[in-house]
Amino acid sequence: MTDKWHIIEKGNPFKLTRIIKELKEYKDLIFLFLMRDIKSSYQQTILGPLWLVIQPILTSIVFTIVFGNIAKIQTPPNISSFAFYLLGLSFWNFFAECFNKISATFVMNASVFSKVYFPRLTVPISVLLSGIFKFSIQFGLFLIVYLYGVIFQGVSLMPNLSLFLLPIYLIALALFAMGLGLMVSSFTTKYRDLTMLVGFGIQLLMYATPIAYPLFAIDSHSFIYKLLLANPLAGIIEGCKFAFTSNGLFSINLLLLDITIILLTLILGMYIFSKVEKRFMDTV
Amino acid sequence: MSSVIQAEHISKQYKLGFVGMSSLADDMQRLMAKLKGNEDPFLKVGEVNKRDNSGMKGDSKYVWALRDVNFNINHGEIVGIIGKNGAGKSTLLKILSRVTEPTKGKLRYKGRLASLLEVGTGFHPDLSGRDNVFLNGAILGMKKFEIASKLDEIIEFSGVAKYIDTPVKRYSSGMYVRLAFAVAAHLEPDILVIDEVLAVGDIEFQEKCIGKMRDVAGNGRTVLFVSHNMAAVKSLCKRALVLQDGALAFDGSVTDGISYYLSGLNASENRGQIETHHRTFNTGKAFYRKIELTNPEFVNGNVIYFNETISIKCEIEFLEHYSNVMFDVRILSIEGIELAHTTNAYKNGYYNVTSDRVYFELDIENNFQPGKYFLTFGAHLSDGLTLDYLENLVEINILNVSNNNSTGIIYDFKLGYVRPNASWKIN
Repeated sequence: MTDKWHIIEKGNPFKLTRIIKELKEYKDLIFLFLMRDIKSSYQQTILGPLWLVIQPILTSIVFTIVFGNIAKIQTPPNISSFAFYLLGLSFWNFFAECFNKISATFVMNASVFSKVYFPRLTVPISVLLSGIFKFSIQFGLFLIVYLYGVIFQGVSLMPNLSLFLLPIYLIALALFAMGLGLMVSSFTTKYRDLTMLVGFGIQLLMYATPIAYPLFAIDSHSFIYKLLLANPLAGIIEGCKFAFTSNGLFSINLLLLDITIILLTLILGMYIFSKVEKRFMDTV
Repeated sequence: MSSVIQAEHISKQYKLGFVGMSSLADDMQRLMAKLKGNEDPFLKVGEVNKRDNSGMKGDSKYVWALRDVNFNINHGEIVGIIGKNGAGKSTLLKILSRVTEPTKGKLRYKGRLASLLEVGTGFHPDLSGRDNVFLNGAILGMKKFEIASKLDEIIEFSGVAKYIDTPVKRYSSGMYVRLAFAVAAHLEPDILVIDEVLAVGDIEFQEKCIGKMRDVAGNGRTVLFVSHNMAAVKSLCKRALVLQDGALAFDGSVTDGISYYLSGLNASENRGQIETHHRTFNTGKAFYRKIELTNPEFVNGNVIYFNETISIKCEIEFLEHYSNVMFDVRILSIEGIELAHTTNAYKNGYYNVTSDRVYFELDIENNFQPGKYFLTFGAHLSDGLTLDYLENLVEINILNVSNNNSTGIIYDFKLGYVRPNASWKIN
């Protein structure tokens, strides 16, 4: 018994290194949470993981009809509008689902959290991993449709080198979902008001992000355009679209700014989360 | 002996009532105080946590569930934590298991600590037994390879090998808790904190659990055990901490701890003071004036140890002198069934009253199962005329723990009312 003392008291200091060290000790738990998520999601469904594919297909069809045929919003020329919507949706779904699930961390896991201690961040991290799993299926679907367009419909292939930035875009989305989600979940332990907001807030946020329309559909001198760019998601999603279509907004400066905002959000989120996780049991 | 857990001035405050605008207002005040560098204004207003309705209820919205608790636990000790509901046991457990933090004070521990506040935490109904063993084990702090190396042992211990690949939602509740306990029992932490998880499964499994816990404890691990089951506490622990109204009221040997705890129970119940309304029947010729149970734990707390002889002292006033009096005592179950009857006439014949006051002392052999019983007192004549009759006058509680160190097992539940003396010869 030469171990050093562990100390439990009010207000342990927030240390990133300690958090990471503890998470490493519990990495098995993260993977088991991931397995639980994947295995239990499609229990007793007939179509199983096929639902992951059906949802974006139906949504893209609706978008094509509503935004393309009725509202007559132009999508970039070198991609079918169906593929264009699929692309945006696969990234958006990843962000939305992670954000949604992470923001329910405390409320959904109250019964487990009230009985056992383990680093609470394992839960949101496993949510991100399972999000990546689902994303890869939806993104695969997009790739099939994209390549189909190229091969069978003769759409000219216009990808560019910024494709290599895709993993960074994905990580940025993940971290932003985490940062925002942690903040919301921390606030909702005591005051549930934000829970009301998250559900439709995500929907509203989608319209504030160029998912269902290309950014160039908006006058670049208008106030709305500037407001949209204040949303870090806009720059990231535009970046994703640019990589495949060479059409859209691509600006390193904007991306750097977005990533800075995202990192600040993440750190603030983790800080608040670490404050709340120690006493949420008393208020949740 | 080196100390592995040290609690220094641990206090925990809770707010009563709902979270709403008023708590938001309090939070704002707290924030203002913090910004000004003052102490949290609400830490001063909390009051002692009293849950009985003895008129102590004050106006404060804040209550101390734990107040200034200090203790020191050495390596390898097995300590029972006992106390009434609401004494602060659960709060202390939550702090020990790091589920919540203390409002004030500090708790330090060495080594790996695992807590079992519940069996089956995090079990997912849709996953198979095997998957849940891994998941639950990891939640409790085990590494995957540790679980894998003990998997066979765990499955064997649980006795659900046949169903291990079936989703646990199809399990019977017994199978579920057995599997859950099996995982918990194979944790190997340096410090183990256990809440009343023993109360699971059938007798056979309960015994297996206690046996397993004794093994765990014997392996040089430090165990903190919280329970209402005095029999289990007594058989497992050497030392006891008694919590009372959020404060540590006793710290010492388990035997003393249990009797300290018991003496604080049920202090307000009737112990034989006789009032007119207690008399079910009376002829006006004779009156029980005093009925007293002299067992020490009964005097303090209406309880009697398992197998402890019940000692009664009575005083009866006679207005007329009879030559054929019979006094009797009946023992009734809480359902009102007369379980036992004793009278002086059985052995000594009728009593001839020669003075105005008659005193008798009575020892009743107690082989009742643990539980609650009532005593009924009567005075009759040989022809059947009842002089005085006091139905269900005294309530007694037979404990599930005995005051001698018998090696037998006292189960916490009732099978019948009486355990007859029986001698077993088993080959």
